[in-house]
Amino acid sequence: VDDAQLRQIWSLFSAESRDYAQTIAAGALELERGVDKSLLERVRRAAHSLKGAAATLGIEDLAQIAHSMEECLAHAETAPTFPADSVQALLAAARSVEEVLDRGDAGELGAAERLPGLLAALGSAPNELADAAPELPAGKAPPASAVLEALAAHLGRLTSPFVADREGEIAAAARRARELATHGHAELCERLARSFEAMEAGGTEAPRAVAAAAGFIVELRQALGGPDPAVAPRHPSPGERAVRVSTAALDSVARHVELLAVAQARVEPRARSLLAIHAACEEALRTAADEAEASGTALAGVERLRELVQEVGSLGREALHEAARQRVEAAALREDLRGLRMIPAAAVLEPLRRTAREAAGLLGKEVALLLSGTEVRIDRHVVEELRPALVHLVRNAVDHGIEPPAARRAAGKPAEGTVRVEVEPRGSRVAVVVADDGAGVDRGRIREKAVRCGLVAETEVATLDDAACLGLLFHPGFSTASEVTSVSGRGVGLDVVRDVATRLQGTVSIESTPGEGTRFLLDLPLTLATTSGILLRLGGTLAAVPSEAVERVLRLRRAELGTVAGRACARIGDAQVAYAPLGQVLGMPQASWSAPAEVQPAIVLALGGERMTFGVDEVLGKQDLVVSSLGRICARVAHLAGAALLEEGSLVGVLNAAEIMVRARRGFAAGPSEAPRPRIVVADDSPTTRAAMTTILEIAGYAIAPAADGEEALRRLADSPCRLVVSDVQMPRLDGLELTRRIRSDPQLQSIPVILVTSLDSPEDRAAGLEAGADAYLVKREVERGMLLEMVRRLLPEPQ
Amino acid sequence: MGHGSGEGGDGAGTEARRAQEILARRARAVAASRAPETPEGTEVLAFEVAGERYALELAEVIEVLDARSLAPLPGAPPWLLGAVVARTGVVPVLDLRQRLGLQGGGLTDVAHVVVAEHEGEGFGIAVERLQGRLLVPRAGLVAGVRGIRWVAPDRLALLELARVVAGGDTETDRG
Repeated sequence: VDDAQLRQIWSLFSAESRDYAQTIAAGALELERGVDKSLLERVRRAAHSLKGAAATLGIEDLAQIAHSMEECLAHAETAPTFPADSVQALLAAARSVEEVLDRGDAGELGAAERLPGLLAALGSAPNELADAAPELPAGKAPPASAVLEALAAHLGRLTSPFVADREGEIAAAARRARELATHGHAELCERLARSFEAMEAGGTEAPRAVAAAAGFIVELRQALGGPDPAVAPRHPSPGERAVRVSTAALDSVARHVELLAVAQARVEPRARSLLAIHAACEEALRTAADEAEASGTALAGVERLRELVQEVGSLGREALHEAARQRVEAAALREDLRGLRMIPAAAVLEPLRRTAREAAGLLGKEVALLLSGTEVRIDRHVVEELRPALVHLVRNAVDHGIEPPAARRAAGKPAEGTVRVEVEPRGSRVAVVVADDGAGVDRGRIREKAVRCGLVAETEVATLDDAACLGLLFHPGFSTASEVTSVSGRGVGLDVVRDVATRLQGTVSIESTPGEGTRFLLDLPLTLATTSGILLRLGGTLAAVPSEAVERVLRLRRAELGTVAGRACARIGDAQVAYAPLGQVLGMPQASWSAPAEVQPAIVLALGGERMTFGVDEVLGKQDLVVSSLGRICARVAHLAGAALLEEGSLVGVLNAAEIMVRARRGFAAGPSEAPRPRIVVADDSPTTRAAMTTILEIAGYAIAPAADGEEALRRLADSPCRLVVSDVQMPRLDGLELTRRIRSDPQLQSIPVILVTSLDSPEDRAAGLEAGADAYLVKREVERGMLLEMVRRLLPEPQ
Repeated sequence: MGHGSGEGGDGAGTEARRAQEILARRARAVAASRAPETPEGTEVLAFEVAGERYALELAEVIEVLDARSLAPLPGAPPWLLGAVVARTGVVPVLDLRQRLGLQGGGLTDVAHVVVAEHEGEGFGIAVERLQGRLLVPRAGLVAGVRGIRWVAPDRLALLELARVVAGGDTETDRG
């Protein structure tokens, strides 16, 4: 490039290079805050372009600086953080580039000052400019991306002033470009090859050819599917930039959207009442007008009233229109918000790497954690709730699933175990799998433990099928590791995982093959903000079920309902599906569900691969729902997912389909004839009183565990699950007040209601009892009057 | 509520100042209404549940709704009568006596739902009769138990909302 030519294109070059220098300087500062791959790529590309441009014009100092910048950035790619002195060096180098350009603008192109120092700071020695071409893997056709990388490297070398064998380089590049045509886009490849060949001529043609070649490479990258690293991630398009939003802000928006829906729901009925009043006014006005006309008085007043009534009418109609428009707007807002609440599953998956590593380290095991589906987008609330459950499952897999390295080798497996966590979208639901390639679950130990814990009678344990046996793992307090490890902890069982799944309106199931491993499957909704539900009537109460859980709605004829092996079933197609009246499952009063119907409306719920049929009084159809939480107060009412505002502004309870199925299964498992009788502990030191209370309660259908004092009562509570405690106050060893306090302070027992029965009846005694945490306080003479039974029924709803 | 923009002049500045003033005035008004502890006593909303008299501090009350808007919930436990749409959102409606495990007869004719809020947790209390705002003198108050903060000489019982929220079977410190 001679001086005349240089002068011609200098201003162009200068402007372009300043851009690059600025990009590099700004990028360096951003990199200091955190290394981001796409940012790094953008900065590198700026340095690379600067190098190319400077080399083309033969401005060696700039080319060298740019090359060193590129090198410096390349090192950062593998480093977790960007070193501060590299940032300094890049800033100094960018400044130096600008100084060279400044001088060039003033007409005196010269060398950069302090060049060796600059280059050293950037981590390279002067003149160390030979880019090694990436070696292509030997063999048949290399992947298009590798060829493109090689072509980019050729281009890089050709734009450098120190290329050893220019002709050879050009020939190789052109050949590679033509070979690339085997991946398609032959025409583009040919043009790329030609632009490489055009560089041979040198002179003013060369920069143009370089620019053209660079352009073709970018085009080919896009055409052949590889992402253009500079354009791809970070900023998809200028009009659609992403911003970070704090979760608190998002929650606040969600709350206000809900309030808006609530306000809207209150407006519409009001508009309707206004119209109803208008109609009544018109009616009254007609009578008044007739009378006024007949008597010839008050005519002016009637006329004025007519105007006012008309105004009320049009106000009412406008209000109704407004309400309808608001409803549409609110629906759009909700839809947008739902999108905003979805975040990639990576948020919950990535931290599991640490969980697995820590657990493996503690236990002296070798474990690889493989994640997939990190990009699947899930409701933020689902992700947050899911976190502890997944941590538990991964720890559990490392602790109980994966064998120690020696045992694995002995079993012919690689010493390193594998735990996979996979997230896979399935329509409106998502499947989360935690699988290990460990020893599998030892059924014998489950059975043994279940008998020891009193979960299953010794006589029944052998008859349990495999699914029921594995299902025991989810029973509260069950843990198969006989020794408690610091990883899984004491008393934390898989029941926690099941609780999380149920709370999220999902299910958890387990499969396990001895010697091959165990696989947990969580079936969850993508979002908790259900948008549509099936509306049902149960007696006089309306209820909604999220429609994603409803497989179908049907009308069963009497002949299609029957019993199979003592269980109520509905015949659906060729299958027998367990059947129960929904009202019964919910413990509603019998009148509301037992209506004998010739044709029984029913819904089939399907979750986690299981199906159940539920009879209802009426299916009213599908509705859009805005589900509102009922708050902390109702957190323990597990079968209610919340309440939803219907379109016309009324409220309906939304059922948690997963919990309904859990409850129904409990009923099905025992068979309809022998529903489990709730156990009540009766503690009293007087055998007569004990016998009297036992008789009263047994006749009413409860199972009784008698105890002679507080300590015995605590043992009964530990033996088997009990639902309620009736206790005397004055007893030897451990009295009723202390018993109540102990129950209240035990996390396993604290929700069990306690009724204190005593002969003491002073306000002070009553207060002491209630202060200890008793739910009710009865005087002994009230027991005979039926008060005990009434109190028990109130505290323990639902048994027949 | 639209405060018009008919101020004229340098619109934005005046408008902002006016907004500030209005906000300040409202804040004062709200602060005043939420400070029921006057030198003479406590301002409460009194009502009847199952023939007995209860009260909430006025500051805790959000609104009073007609019980006809109460929607029953399927399979709800006895203490949960249903839900209503309140100004602050959808809230559960409680049977006070069941919730606190208090003795006495059931509810007969629920006429109103008193919506209250405690630490951001909204809920409604089903009541049979409203007695309106009262100023309860501080003298003669007796500490109550189990969800009752104190009892006035005329047996009006002021509710302890923390206990109502937590439910009857949870220990709560009184004081």
